[in-house]
Amino acid sequence: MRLIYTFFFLSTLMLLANSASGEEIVIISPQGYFIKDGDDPAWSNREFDHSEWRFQESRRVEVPQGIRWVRASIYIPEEYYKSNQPLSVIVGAMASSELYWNGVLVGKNGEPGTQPDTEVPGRITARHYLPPDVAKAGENIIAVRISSQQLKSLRHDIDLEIVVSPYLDISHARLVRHVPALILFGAIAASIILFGAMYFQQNRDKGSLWMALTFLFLAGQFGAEVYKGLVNYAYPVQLYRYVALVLFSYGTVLSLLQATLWRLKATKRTKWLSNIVAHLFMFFFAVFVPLLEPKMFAMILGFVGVCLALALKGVLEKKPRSLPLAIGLAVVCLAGLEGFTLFLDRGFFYGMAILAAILFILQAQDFRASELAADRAAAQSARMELELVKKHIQPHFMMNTLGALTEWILENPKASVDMIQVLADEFRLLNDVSAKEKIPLAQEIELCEAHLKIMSYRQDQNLRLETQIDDASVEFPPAIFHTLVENALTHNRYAEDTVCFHLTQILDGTERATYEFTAPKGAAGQIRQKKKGGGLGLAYVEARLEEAWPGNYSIDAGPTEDGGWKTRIEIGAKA
Amino acid sequence: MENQDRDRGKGVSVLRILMVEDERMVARGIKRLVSELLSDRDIELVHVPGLDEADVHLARNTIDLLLLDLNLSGEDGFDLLSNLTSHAFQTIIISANTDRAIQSYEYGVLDFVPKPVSRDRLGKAFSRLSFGSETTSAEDQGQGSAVFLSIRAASKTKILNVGDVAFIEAAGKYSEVHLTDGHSNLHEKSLTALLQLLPANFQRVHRSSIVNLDLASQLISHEGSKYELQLAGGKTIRVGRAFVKGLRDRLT
Repeated sequence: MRLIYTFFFLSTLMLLANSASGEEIVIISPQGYFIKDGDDPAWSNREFDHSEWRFQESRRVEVPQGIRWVRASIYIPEEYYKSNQPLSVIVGAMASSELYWNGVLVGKNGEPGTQPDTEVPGRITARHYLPPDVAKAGENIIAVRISSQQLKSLRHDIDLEIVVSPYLDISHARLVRHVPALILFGAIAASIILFGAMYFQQNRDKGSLWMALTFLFLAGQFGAEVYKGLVNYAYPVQLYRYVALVLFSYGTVLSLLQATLWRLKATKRTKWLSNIVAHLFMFFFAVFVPLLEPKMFAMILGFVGVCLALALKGVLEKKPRSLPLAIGLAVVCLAGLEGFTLFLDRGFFYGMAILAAILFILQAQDFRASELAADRAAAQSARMELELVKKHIQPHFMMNTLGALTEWILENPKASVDMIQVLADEFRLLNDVSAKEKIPLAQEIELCEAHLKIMSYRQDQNLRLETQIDDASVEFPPAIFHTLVENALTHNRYAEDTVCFHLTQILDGTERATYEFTAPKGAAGQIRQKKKGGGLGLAYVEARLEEAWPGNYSIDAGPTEDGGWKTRIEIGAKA
Repeated sequence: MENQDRDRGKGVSVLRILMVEDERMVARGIKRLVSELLSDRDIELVHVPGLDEADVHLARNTIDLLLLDLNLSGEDGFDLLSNLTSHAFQTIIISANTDRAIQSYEYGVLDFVPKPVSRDRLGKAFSRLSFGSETTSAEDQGQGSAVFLSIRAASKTKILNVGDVAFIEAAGKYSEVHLTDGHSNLHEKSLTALLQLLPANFQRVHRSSIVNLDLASQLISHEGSKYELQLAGGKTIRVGRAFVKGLRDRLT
């Protein structure tokens, strides 16, 4: 497993390094745009004077009512032109367009029109060959005739991207830009499978589910992101792509926040607070920032930032394994330093891949820890069973019982036969219950009575258990009260011929149940020797109760008014 | 105490036994076995259920033998035991926890009888008792495997290492335990009782002295068939004529 993480981690780093050092392709874009609504073929002419037109530096153009012309000058350096490379010009826009280069029509993308039904939608990106006799070194004038009728009802911009670049290299450049990202998709897919499998295999733990969802949404976001480079779709599709991008990225960061909260075992209050803060941040930017990319950028960093804050808080509170989580989240945040376009294009995905690698390790550690806990619980159970059985084959019990039996055989053979019967009963009961996690209370009482009978024969006394039980079918871990009976007999000596122990069940109609076991006052007080057995007995009782009702029981013991000893066990006290 | 001395001289003493046993039926069984095994003796057996009652009894009465059921699982089990073995009486442990037997011997008990108690095993333990026959059947060599000797000093019990004991001299009905460092301590047990507990390297060299042979260097004979045993520290011990042969055998 570790190897896989290491591989992911290293490959991610390598890809980052690769994309940074890739050969730069010289591209040229206009410095500003002259805009005029309306339609006139003369506006395509190189010599046309557009100085009266509206000028803007930004390439973001509002959607026109009908046809709109955009004119700009592009400066092609001498050496660039002379290098004899074929050139191309790319027009990327949410529009249909015609491109005139120095007055010559070099390409059409769809068919601009005044109405939705007269317009033929263009592709999101159009790439035209730029003939060497049309382009020239120095200043070139381009004119673009555009319309964007298909999405009129929706508010959006025509992001007019005009780029001149070597004809052959540009396709390579696009590929290079996406290859690392595509490989990264493998890491994301692996994360979905791993966390998804963990969710279905491991008691449906929510942490794995949120992780799986995080990477599932991330895959969606990623798909929407690279779709543009892979498929040259008609421009109206762009809007759906944006919607998908927003929804997927929202899903990603929302799931990531829940996964983080789960991993840090946050309180309900923290959960609410974190979600509210992240959403307020998101809505603030959604309302007050004009463009989509900064909105998404703010939303992602807002959520990841909240996650990072939570993880750092965890580090301060010394929560286990919160430091690696914080590091992973910090990497994602640091990727934001690239600026929003690069962050959304790749930085976020690289950051998430590194975070995924860290989460893999953490999840594996969690998995190991929960496996260990399960092993420990199983071992504990086995130990309990063994302890219970051992109590009855340990020499003190066994040899004294046999010694007493010997005496009964000599004194009163009939009684000795009875004693053997009772002994057999107790062993049979023990054998039945020792391996069980819970037994009916009725069976427990039988076990207590069998033990008291044995002890009665051993001491030639009448030892009894009086019970006040409303519901004897209640399930209880085995030998709880049996142990209390045993402890009472170990710590006290009773001189009376008849000794009565009491067990009372108090049910108040709720989930809570109370049990009181009372031992009468002993004759000679406590036995002087400090017996380890007593402590071990209570340890057994507590371990069994913890196993049956983890953290949801209480046990206390103390003297009664008449010198006896009362042990009180409450189940469901917390509920 | 006076009675005990007088009885011992006559050889028809009452054997006073205290039994500590919290299991009533087991106690009944032991009581029956004791009276059967020692039917030729005059015995006085008192049964108490616990150590507190035993303390009360010991404060008011002198006994010759303690039959003790002691759960020796804890550390303080052996503290209690060494306190008891510092007394003049011999102690026989009767316990189910046979894994503690060897350690019990180290602390100076005469015997360890496992539960359930068999007639033969208890009889064997009793056969090691030598009350009222101080000089006749006793061996000259240590019979036990004690590693510690507990001494009652003022209010507390002092535990000595048996290896530090150079020689022991009779001091009335008590014994004077001399250590290699020159110090000496009074032990309540008689020389014969101690010899039953001490390991084989302890040898009786005189009616009134026992020597740790591990520390003996040579047997010196003087004129008039007088013998002395020289110890490592330079100290010499008189050797009784009757013990010379046995001692010589063991030294060579």
